[in-house]
Formats: sequence, C-alpha cells, structure tokens
Amino acid sequence: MISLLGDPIELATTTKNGDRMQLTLGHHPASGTPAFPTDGPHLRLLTTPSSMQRASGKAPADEVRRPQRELLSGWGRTSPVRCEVLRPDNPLDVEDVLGERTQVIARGLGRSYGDAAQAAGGTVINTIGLDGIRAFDPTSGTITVDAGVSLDRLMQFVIPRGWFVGVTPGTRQVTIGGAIAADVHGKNHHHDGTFCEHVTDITISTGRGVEHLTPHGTPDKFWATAGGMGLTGVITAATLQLRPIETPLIASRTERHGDLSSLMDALRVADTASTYTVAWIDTLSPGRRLGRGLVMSGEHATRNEVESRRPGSLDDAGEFRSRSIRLPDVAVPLLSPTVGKAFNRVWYRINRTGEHLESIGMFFHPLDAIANWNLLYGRRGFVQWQCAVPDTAAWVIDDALRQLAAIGAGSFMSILKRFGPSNDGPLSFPIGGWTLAVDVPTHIHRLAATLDRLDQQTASAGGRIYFAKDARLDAQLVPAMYPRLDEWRETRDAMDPDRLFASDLSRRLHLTDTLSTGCIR
Amino acid sequence: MNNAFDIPQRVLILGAGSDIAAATALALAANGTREFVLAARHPDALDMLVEQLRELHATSVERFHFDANDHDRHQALVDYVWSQPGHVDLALVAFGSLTGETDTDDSTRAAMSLVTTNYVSIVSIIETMVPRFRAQGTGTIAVLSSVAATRPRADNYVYASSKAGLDSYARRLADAVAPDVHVMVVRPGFVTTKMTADETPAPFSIAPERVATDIVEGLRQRSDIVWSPPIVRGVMGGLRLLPTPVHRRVTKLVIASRTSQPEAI
Repeated sequence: MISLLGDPIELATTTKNGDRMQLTLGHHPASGTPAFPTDGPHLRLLTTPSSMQRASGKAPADEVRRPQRELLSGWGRTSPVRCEVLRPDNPLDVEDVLGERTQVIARGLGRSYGDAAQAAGGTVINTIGLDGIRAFDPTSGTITVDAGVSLDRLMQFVIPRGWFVGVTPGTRQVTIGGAIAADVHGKNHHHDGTFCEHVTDITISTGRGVEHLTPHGTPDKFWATAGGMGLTGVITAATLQLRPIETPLIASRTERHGDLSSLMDALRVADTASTYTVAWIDTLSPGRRLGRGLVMSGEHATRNEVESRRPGSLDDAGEFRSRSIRLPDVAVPLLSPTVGKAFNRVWYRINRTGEHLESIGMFFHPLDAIANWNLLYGRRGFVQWQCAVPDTAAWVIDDALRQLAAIGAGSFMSILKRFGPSNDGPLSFPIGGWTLAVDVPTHIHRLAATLDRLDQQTASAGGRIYFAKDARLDAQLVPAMYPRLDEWRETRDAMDPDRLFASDLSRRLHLTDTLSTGCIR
Repeated sequence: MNNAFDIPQRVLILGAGSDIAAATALALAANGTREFVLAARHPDALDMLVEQLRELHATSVERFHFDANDHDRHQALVDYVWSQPGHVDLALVAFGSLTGETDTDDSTRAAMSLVTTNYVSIVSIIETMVPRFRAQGTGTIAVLSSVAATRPRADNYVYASSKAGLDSYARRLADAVAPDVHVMVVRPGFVTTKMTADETPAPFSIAPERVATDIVEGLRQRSDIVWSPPIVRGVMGGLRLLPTPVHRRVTKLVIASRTSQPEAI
C-alpha cells in the first residue's frame, strides 16, 4: 500500500531504449523540472533526459559550445548551406550558448521542406539532444516535454497509456519544437485546429532570458511563437494537452471519387461527420479524371467497436510500434513522371473502399514507412507547394491542378483538405477553406514560372503559402498573404530586439525586416 | 539566399557595364532575383539597365563607381557591399579588356595593362571577397573566362594568356573553397558585344543573351565550367588534339579568311 500523503516514493527502471523511467508517487516538493507548473500531491512519470546521463566529470558547457560545421538543407534537399551547428543536451545550456552567437535558428529533425531550419554562415541549434519527457499527468492528460522530443517518441510514450496528441501532421518525425514553430496541422484541423491550440505552455530561450509563454498569460508572445518559424527564440520545452483514446486504432472509411468536384463535395460532407478527413488526389490522369481521388475519414476506434469487429485484437495492440525501412543513402530519381503516372493509377484502384480498422501509423503517417523517401526525387531535390485558399476561391485548386498537369509536374502524394477557421497566430498558416499540397521534383521544365503564377493567383484570392514547405516564394507576396505580418514583427522585435534570430527562410522572404522597395537609385 | 531553383536573391555584378553582365542581370531578374548591386566604371551609363531591372520587379538596385585597376579601393567596396543586409548569393566578375590601353603605341604597355585588368585586378577583387563568402557559408563566384583560355589564338595571344591565367586561377580557387562556395568558370565563344564590335565574328558567334541563359542554367546545375554555346567545348576539344604546327596553320588560315571578307555595309 502506498500512501499518497507521505514522503514521495520513487520507483525507477530503465527502458529498452535506455531512458530511465521514474514513477514518483506522492508529494514532490523539490521538483527538478521547473517547466511543470503543478505543486502538491500528484503522480508523475519522468524519463531522464540524456543530459543527466552524461558521464560525470565532463563539463557540459564546453561540449555544447564546440560547433560543428555541417552542410544543411531541408527535407526537399534544395539549397544546401554550411552552418555552425551546436547540439545542446540540456535546456538550461541553450540560453548560455545564445549569448555568444549571431544569426541563430533552431533545428529539430529537419522536416521543413525548404530553408526554415538553416542559417548560412550563422548558428543552428540542433534541439534533438533536448529529449526529456519531464512530467506527465495521467489524470488530466497533460505532458511536459523538451522541445527535441519527436512526435514518434511522444506517441510511443502516451498511446499505451490511453492518450493521443491533439494534432498530428502527416509524419511522426518532427520535434515538438518544430511542430510549434510551424504551428502544424493535421487531418482534424476543421475539428480541433492546429497543434498550438493544444499547447498550454511554451518555454523559450531568447538570449535575454528564459520565458514561459501561455495563451492566456502572454497571448501576443505565445501566438508570435506559434507559427513563428523559430524567429522569436529557441523553444526548449512545452506542455501539451493530450486527448484520451480507448484504443490505438482508427476506424477509417475510404471513398473513391471520379472527378475533382465530386471529391470536393465529398470532403465537405465528410468534414461534418468525421474528426479526421483528408483526400489523396490523382494529379497525373488527364482530362476529366484529373483530380479524381480518395477521401479518407476516421475516428479513434472505441473499445466496443474493436471488440465487436475484431474480438481479442486489443490484447496485443497496447504497444505502439513504429516501423520503417531506410533506403540506401543515394539519391536515385525513381519517381519519374512515368512511374508517377503508374503509381497514381494503381493507388487510385488498389485502396479498398469502405470501412476498416487501421493502425495510427497507417492512417496518419503512411509515408513514415520509408524513413528517407525524400531521396526518391533525385539529386536535385524537390519542392512541396502547399497553398491555403478561402472557400470562395476553390477555383484556385482546380486551376493549380490543371497548370501543374500541363507541365507534367504531377505528384505522388497530392493532398487536398479542408481547413477550419484560423487561430490567433499572425503567421499561423491555416485559414478557413481549402488546402492543397503537391510534391514536385525541381528539375521539371517551367516549374519555377508555373509556381510563381500559382502564388500570384493564391495571393490575389486571399490565400497563402505555407512557410514550412516553402523554398522559392517571391518575398513581395508575403505581406499580402500574411496581412498580420507587421503585427507579428512588432511582437518579435520586442522579444528579440537585437535580431539574434534569423534563418535562410527569414532572410529570403524578408520576414523580420521590411522588404525595401524604395531604394532603387 | 538561393531559392529551390538555385536562383540567387542578391547579386553583385562587377563590371555591370558590359553587355554580357547586363544580359545576365536581366535573365536573373526574369527568373526571380530581386536585389542587385551593380559596380561599373561608368555607373551613370546604367540608367537603361536599372529601368529594365525595375520593370522585371527588382526591389533593390544599387549602383556605384568601380575602377577595377584601383586595387587599393577593393577592400572598401567589399566592406560596403557586405555591410548591407543579406548575403551576396552571386558575385559575377564580368569586367575585362580585349586590347588593354588603346591610347598608346607602346605595345608592351598595352599588353601590361591588359594583363592587369584581366588577371591582376580580378585576382585582387576575388581574393578580397573570398573571406566573406567563406564566412557566409554559401554563394557563387562566377568568373567570365573565354574559350581563348583553353587554346590561345595567335592574333590575340596576350588576351588569351590573361584569360588562361584567370581560368586556371578560378579553377584552383573552386577546389579550395568547395563545397560551401561555388566558383563557376564561364567560357563564352565569340560574343557580339561592344567589346568585340571591331572584330569580325568567329564561327559559332553568339549574342550576350545566349551567354546569360547559359550562365543561369550553369547556376541551376551548379556547374564548374559553363561553355557558351555548349558546342564550343567540342570545337576547342578538337583543336586541342591538333599538333601545334597544324594548329598554327589552321588558325592562320581562319584569321586570313576572316580578314579577307568584305566589310558588312
């Protein structure tokens, strides 16, 4: 019998992947985790961050201060640049490091497609060493984690305990810090908003001190950081509100639709009924079949649903495993237009329609099955063009598909989705309406000019381009796409008056400084 | 920053008054370059180029006086350019001379001035820029060499040797600064420009716009050497195979046939 009122009782064990798991019961007055806001009797589970496992006698600061010069690019593998990379393994070291640097940007798992997490000639703070799960409250479903914890790791921790993240993007291979900086969205945006709408506390290092940002206490700074592309400081930890789930399975439904307009109608209907919806589009079939696709919708399966449809299957489903294969580290352009056309045709047919029980990985993160699928687009890399347009401008989607098809820029994984209303983040990408994401290899002839034209159309329709995906947008369109840019700059400058933070993205798009248009002389 | 299509955002052009430089600036602007720093001996003569760049949506075009042979001022110029916000994603070194000083009968002096402009001055300005490029960890230095660098012509051997020296310098520099900084050697064939207006066009002669297109494509491919037009690579390769006595005879014949042509009216 354990008393919850007496001295804390700690049970410790080491898990498979080397984390020390510690279960603390009872009052825990001398908390070593300042990010966790509660006091008094509570139950918490901790994994020890790697900083605490460091061999004793080594001075952390020296190790952390020695930069490595690395050639970095985004997930699309375009525009690689040389940066000085620091790898702190303790959130407290980050503030120290910032004091000695200029042009700093944080980087997690490098899943931004373009140049958001690199700074040529500057300093990149790689956060994946900040990997501690600091506090978990299994009754309320709040969890405090360091910024370098990946969604994959977080899910492995919370799913067996009956919880799920509020929002997951199409990959688990992003860090919490990155998910906040890009304010990522998922298949449930129309229902639950963005990732940051499930964040209750952000710990950020600005070089002028460590701050805790909350949506209610410091709304301006919180929302400047949510979607702020890392330009307000280095996010070192965050507290998330999780969602309870009964099973680790998704009850999903797949419908096939033969043309774009019926696909869009079906998505509208699915949004009113389902928590998770998305459509995959065939961008390589000509004529009327262009834009045909599959509408996939889903809900977290309840225990009863699973028991009735697959009795006994829950016994071994408690563990969440992530499996993936890794291709040889050579960029072979396998995804040629011919292969793409064949793939689209097969994919359209091969997916079974109707209702299924699927794993979380299969439903949300199918591409994670190949760890480095970005190599398949070849040596010169690829870009992902993702726009969001209001409902009134749905024609932009149709037109974009036509223009891309006209130059043979079809894509394997083209995704269409509806967004719910936007949030308070001035740079947060989603706006109510439609979003389309298309991957295209950069070597396609006339691609640059076509995408420029699509950007213009998107901007004039009141839409925008997603910074986390961008590697080529014209800076002049940014103020029109993000009308609250100046408001964001004001908050940003208050948080970082010395302009310590900069990325290749921010320089290319003139996010932190106004693009001068008057200095032609 | 370069964008995903390797189009530089901010470009420095040294010798912006040249036809090839102007054509390249316009080609870059048409592909999305927005900021230009133009250095030229006669910046006032750039009015039309500035206006054209503005029409192609350039957001910032700066120009100033640059005397390539005033080596003492190179550092100040580089300091100024890099004190402005943003990296220099591309420095195009486009100045050069075909004849050296023309107001002299002293052929030695003319040769020396040609070598100074085409080799010494370029080495001076590039060496001044290299630490900046290394520090920013990205960027391209494009150097205008010539096909003459690979097999000097008898009728303009001083020019050819200055380009050969420059070409060799740029190639070795490329090895030293790779892979962070990209050095691209551009070897045009005969280009019909102000500089060559007094010469009879050679076979495969091209307009400056063609060189500009090849330069932009070279940036995209991150090429080490850009031959413009690409066919001159094969031609020069063929000429290199000829034994020296045969080569001399061939070039003399070619020169003779060109000079014997009637002048175009």
